[in-house]
Amino acid sequence: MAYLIRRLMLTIPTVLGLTALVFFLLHAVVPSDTVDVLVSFYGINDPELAQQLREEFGLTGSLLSQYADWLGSVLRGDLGASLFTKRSVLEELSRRLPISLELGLGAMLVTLAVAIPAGIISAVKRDGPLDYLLRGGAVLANALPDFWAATLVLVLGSVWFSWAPPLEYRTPWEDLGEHLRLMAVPVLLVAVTPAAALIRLMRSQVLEVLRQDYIRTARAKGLDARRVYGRHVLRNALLPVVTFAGLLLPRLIAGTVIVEQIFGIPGTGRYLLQAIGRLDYPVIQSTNLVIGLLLILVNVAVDISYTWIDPRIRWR
Amino acid sequence: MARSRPLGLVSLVILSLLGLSAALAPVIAPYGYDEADFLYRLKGPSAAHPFGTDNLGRDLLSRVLYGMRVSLFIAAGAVLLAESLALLIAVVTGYFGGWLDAVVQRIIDIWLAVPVLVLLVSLVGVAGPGVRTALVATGLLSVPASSRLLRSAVLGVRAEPYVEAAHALGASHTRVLLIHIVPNIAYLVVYSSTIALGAVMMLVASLGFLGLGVPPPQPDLGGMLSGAGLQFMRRSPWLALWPGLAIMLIVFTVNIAGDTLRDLFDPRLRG
Repeated sequence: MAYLIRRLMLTIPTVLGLTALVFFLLHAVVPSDTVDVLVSFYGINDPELAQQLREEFGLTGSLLSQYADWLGSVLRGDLGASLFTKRSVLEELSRRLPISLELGLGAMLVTLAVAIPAGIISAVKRDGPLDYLLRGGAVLANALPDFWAATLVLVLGSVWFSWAPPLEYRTPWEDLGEHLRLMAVPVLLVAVTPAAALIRLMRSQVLEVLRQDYIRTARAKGLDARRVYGRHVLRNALLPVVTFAGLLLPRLIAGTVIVEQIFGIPGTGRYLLQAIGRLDYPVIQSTNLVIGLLLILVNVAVDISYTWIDPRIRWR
Repeated sequence: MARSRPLGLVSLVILSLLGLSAALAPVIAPYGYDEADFLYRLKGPSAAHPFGTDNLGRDLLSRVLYGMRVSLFIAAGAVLLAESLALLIAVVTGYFGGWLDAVVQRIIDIWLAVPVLVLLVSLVGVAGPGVRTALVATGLLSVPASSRLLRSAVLGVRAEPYVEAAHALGASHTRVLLIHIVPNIAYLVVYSSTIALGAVMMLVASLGFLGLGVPPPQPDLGGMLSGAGLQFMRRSPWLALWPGLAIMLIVFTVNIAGDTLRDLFDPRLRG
């Protein structure tokens, strides 16, 4: 428990650093700002109006005070509102984040469900035809750009099977069938690359464990194969997989950004891309903050789950 | 190597051929990348256009060659930038340690906690797309992972008896760093470059795909696959085929070459 508290305290500087990084990249490195985008979009060239807008958006003070202002309102639970639509970021995210989470978690489940058994089979049937097939497939899939796979699915699906995903997003409560028709393929697509990586990791882990003395002991004392694999091999090979699941998250997020864009799913990734296109500061900053927080918390959870999986590890 | 690692050798050969044809694109491409022939639009592969033509009647083979040229140039430049910075950070922090190391490692923790694609898109989107932005942004984002790998190697080498001996003989820090540390981790720099090259290639392609690559009419491999062409791809699937295949072939051969190098340098790591 003390460890948990300390670990959570340690995330505070990380989160602060993350927000500062995003903020100063946006404001200090980028030569233009939201108002420039607005002005060029509407084709107005009125320095007075531009100045007025900057004041209204709170873009006039020193960078440090702007950052402090933003951070202060975030701490009060106010993530700000889009400069373009005036809609609250919190509201948008509470609608969009579950959609992206569904994509990401769905893909994670598919990854684990496919890759763990596949990796074990690959290791157990080492150098057999199935092993070569799985390894070859994994290496190929690892080099497959996810956006290309998605494009091919769309193009070939419509050419060969006259299949197309629904054009409009429906929440599962409105229409579960339509919802799944849209989400199923993207989930599978996001899972391809992580699954490929996990198969390889799982295979090498199982091979490593199979070499250990305690496996020979387990076999020698007459345990049947299921006991050996279930109790000894799997549990010992699983630890790096948990680490992997934590490392997986950025990849899953990247994957959801891509498929949301291609399949027109109104998730967080699309929201962020749109905001970046027009330098919508509050949206970019707050969305990055929320994604970063999520990542950091998952990593803490991963650290903690080590003790649960491997009793040899005790945190001080 | 040819006998023990045939796949690695083949990958290296293919990779060199791809790199060479990309570098020589202006010489060997049958057409210019923006040479439009409106009478010959969306045609399938033929003798005159081995890869077919796009919706403006531009030769796809030439566009793929030029696209590879740009994408590989960005990726190679980014890796060069990333590995130099990573080596510098790794050697200095790993060798001297202390508070500097602690601070830099915490910064790298933060850097690693951000989803790369999200940060990359944020960076490039706001800084304005182009070859230079893509190169610098993908390069900077590859620094932390590489520097971690190299730093751990520096820590290992620093503890070797020959480094201690050099210190005992009165060698300066600079001498120890340049004569003992750097040469002994050089092989890891090569290996981490190949890892970074595959990843950066993918990032550059994703950027292009999201419309943040090289501005048109100049082609880059990801941009050629971007959503705008989707309507034409339904009619002419080869539009989607060649650039994607090129990306995949490059990433695939880079990864295999990297694995081969790793196995040759350090057989214990073999997966």
